[in-house]
Amino acid sequence: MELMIDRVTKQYKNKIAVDRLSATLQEGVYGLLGANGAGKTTLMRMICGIAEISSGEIRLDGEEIGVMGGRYRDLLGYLPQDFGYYPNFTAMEFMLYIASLKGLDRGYAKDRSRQLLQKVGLADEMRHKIKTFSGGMRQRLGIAQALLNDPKILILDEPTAGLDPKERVRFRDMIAELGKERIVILSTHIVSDVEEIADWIFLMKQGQFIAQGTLGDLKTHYLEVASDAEKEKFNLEKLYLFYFSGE
Amino acid sequence: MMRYEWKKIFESRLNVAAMLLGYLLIGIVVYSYVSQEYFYQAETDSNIEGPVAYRMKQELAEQQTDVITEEYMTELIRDIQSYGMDLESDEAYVQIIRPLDDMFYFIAKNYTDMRSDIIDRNALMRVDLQEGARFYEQRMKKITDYLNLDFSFGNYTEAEKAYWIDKAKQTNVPFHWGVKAVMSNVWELTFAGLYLWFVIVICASSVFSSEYESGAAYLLLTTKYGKDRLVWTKIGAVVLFAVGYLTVGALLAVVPNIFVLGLAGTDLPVQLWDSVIPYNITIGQTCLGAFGLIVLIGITIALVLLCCSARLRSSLATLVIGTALIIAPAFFPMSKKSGLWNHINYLFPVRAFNLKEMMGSYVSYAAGNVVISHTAMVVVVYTVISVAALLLIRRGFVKMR
Repeated sequence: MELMIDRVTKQYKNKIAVDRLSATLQEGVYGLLGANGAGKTTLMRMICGIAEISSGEIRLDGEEIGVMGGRYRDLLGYLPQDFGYYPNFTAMEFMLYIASLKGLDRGYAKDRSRQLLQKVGLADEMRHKIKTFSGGMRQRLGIAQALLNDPKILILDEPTAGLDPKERVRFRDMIAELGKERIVILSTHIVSDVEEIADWIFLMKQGQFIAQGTLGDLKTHYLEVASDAEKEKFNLEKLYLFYFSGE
Repeated sequence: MMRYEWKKIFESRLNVAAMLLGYLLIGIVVYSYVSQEYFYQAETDSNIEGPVAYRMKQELAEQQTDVITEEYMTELIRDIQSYGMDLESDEAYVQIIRPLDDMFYFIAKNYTDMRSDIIDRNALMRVDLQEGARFYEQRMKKITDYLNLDFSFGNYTEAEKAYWIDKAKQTNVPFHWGVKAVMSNVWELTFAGLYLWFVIVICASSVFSSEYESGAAYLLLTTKYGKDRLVWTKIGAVVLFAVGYLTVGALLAVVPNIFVLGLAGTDLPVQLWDSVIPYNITIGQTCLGAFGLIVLIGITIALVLLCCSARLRSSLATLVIGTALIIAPAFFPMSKKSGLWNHINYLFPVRAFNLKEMMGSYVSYAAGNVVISHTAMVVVVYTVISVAALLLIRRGFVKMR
């Protein structure tokens, strides 16, 4: 499976949010790292087909995603940033609602929902209303719904927001596992989220990829340009500051 | 999927409060209508109120006549004229009008100019009875005179005149007589449909916009059925809700009436409300027809608001539009110069469900020789708006911004 982003641009009147981005993604975990307003969410929305592309195109195995329509969305799992939950729904009802929108058979949806809620640690709360959930619990529920249809393309916008350190570690392990057989794109401005699990990292600034590669590639590049004092202790945090200092 | 959409509607506190308030208002209106009806009993010189008053009205109607024949009318008007009174006087009211109850107003209205908003009681004193009351002839003359009047906002075309006169001639005469008080009560309750439209406005205004306001739309639109089946399900949920809510409202309004007062008057001709009405339908059918119009307009309002909700993505803005759509036209005056404006004005919701008035006001829409009545135009216009809104809702919701 190959997801090709070809010179994709998003322009809002005079502002260019995403500027001629190109990338080819295959199975694996892709980290999208950038400060707030860098264009990460816009890019993800375009990949999901919910933000219009001003120019360029996105293709899955050679077919334009807009043309694929429902077939493309059937392969998609998406966790939006700060999305609203239905406060009076229980976790199970919410999962079953999303499952019905994803076209899952009701019997299968029930089993799958239980299994995923177990996986994200919400099995005991599946009959509780979402309005009683903490931010972290809601985020875990969001992750669970994204996995309902066993997506081939999983897009997670700021997935670790609101998670405590323990949940974050568990989440990273889950993503690493999922990335083995699907395309996982996750955006964050928290460097450590992608450092350990991303196979490929995109550094985004003002709508453009200012650097991309494996952690090793980025380190090599960093070592070429950093001062001797900076070279001593490399980590992605330092690289991030190197690129985004002054923001 | 439908179950979850209903759950969203029924679990909103605002929606539930509005629904209950709507039904409470109906309950109050039903109670006030049933309890406030009164009948003057000459034997005891007192007014009898409540359900008993209806039964006494029925007894009186049965004593008066079964069928409104020319002979009966002639005798009755002769009897009224024999008093030689000013029928606007209190004395005439006590001696003539009150004992005749509905019958008096029914006859007097037939002899009153169609342009008049009030019944000219003394018109009965001017009826020449040498050749009988000519009650039905007077009805046709009244209609013909009205159609040939000079109106400052434009006159009837020849095609319209022919259309209405033909319709009026086809009305079954003589009319059957009976007590219409119970059905008049039911009729008045159709106005409660206005309250219920507001509830539909409240419930429909947030259906799509709340998904955007909460950010859930970004998730829903990435699901397999998020851009098609979800939209149709939401529309279906709201339409079924509107129909169900209005139906329950109608049952709440009508069932207590039937339970307390019975069904007297459903099969009486609609002309007992206004003799000039040119349709061969009964009062019961008119009430059902009005309910049909209330439902049709309610569905159209719901669909238009769903369209606004999907496109504006603001529940508040949609709510304001919906409320204005119902309330504002009530304050739009009829023009003395523009027939076009008046014809548009007749189509606003507040003027498009009062079937009794619509049928007796001779409003028609003409294009060349093609003439359609106000009622038919309402059905056409609201159906067209509904279809247009249906087509625009999906585009509004799924359009990426």
